[in-house]
Amino acid sequence: MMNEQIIVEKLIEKFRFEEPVNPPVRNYIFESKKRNLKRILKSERKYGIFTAAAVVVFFLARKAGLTISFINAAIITGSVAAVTTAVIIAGSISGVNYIIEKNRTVNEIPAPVIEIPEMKPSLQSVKPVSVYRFSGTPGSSGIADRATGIIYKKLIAEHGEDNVFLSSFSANKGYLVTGSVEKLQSGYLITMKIVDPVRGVIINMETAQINNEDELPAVCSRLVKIISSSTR
Amino acid sequence: MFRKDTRKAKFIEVYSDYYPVIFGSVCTRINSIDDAEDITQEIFVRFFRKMDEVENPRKWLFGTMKLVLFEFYRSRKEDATDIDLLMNDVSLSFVNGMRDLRMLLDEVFEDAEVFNNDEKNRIIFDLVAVQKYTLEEAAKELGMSRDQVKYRYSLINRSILQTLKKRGVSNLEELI
Repeated sequence: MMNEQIIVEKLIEKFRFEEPVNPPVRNYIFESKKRNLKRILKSERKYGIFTAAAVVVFFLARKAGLTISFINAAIITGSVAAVTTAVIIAGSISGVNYIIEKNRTVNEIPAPVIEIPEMKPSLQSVKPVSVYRFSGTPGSSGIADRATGIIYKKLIAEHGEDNVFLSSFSANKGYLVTGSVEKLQSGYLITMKIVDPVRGVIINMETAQINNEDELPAVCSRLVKIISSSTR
Repeated sequence: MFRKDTRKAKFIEVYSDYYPVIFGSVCTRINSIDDAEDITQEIFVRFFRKMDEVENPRKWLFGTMKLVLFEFYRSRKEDATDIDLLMNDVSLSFVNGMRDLRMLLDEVFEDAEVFNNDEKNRIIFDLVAVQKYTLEEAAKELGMSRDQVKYRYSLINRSILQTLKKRGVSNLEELI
């Protein structure tokens, strides 16, 4: 008895039902299937990203010998897309948190800057100065008193009242300023000395000559500047 | 929206099953594979548009294939007017009892019950028996294993022979 398959195939051949397709054409048909489906769906405007992904899954499953419906392929695609999206979002959040943690800098609040009002130069680190009356020779004692007074007042203006004393020197209160005024044939010679009583040394000495009393204030101003610079 | 997606899913499944059968059938009727590809594409585009009205996709696809082929021939050759002459000329080459037997076979091959009312069985028959696909190639086209195809194909052959016997054709071995 002939095999059933052979009988049917012989019948098909004898009665010319066969329409044989060449192997290269069969291969071309298989290769073109997905491409033409894409073209058809695109021409009908039914081809989106999700459909494309589902079609890929559908054909991959068929290629692997799995008979699944397109609906099942779409469900698989949707599930994979959802899981992938969740993983990407979770990964992104973790990544961002990691970067934030890595780059976190302790923002120290700077200590408030307390602005100290600028003190007058005369008041900054000024040591007390005691002005002793300048000695004079006959004919110059009046100018000596006047020079003492001018220097005293100018020092108060420069150093402040608390730092300048007149003829009341205390060993604990800084420097001592004294001097003399001598009468010359034409004019006067003024000598000013700044003494550090603690060490017992003259730290500065200055002389100036004036022709008349009118020049006294200017000379005294210059001497006060010397005193100020020497006692700081 | 869900209805639309279901429609698209149905189309893709019909397309995936019938694409090789229709493409192969078109290829045997015209010489150019490029033209065959265009014609196949046109058939499925028309199916996509009309599928809501289609009850039997197979019959509709083969019917539309005849129509599109006729349109194709007419665009190439103006005197091609008879579709039946183009499509059924083979049966005309048989005479008397042989013609009757061929017509009977034609009926059997169109009978859904022969294929256990399963379109996949009919496609397997079309691919393997008619278009001479190997079992592996048919399995690849249909997303089945080779053994599944082989088993189904053997059942189809048995069913065809039993149906022919029921219709009074008992001397098949003598006929062939």
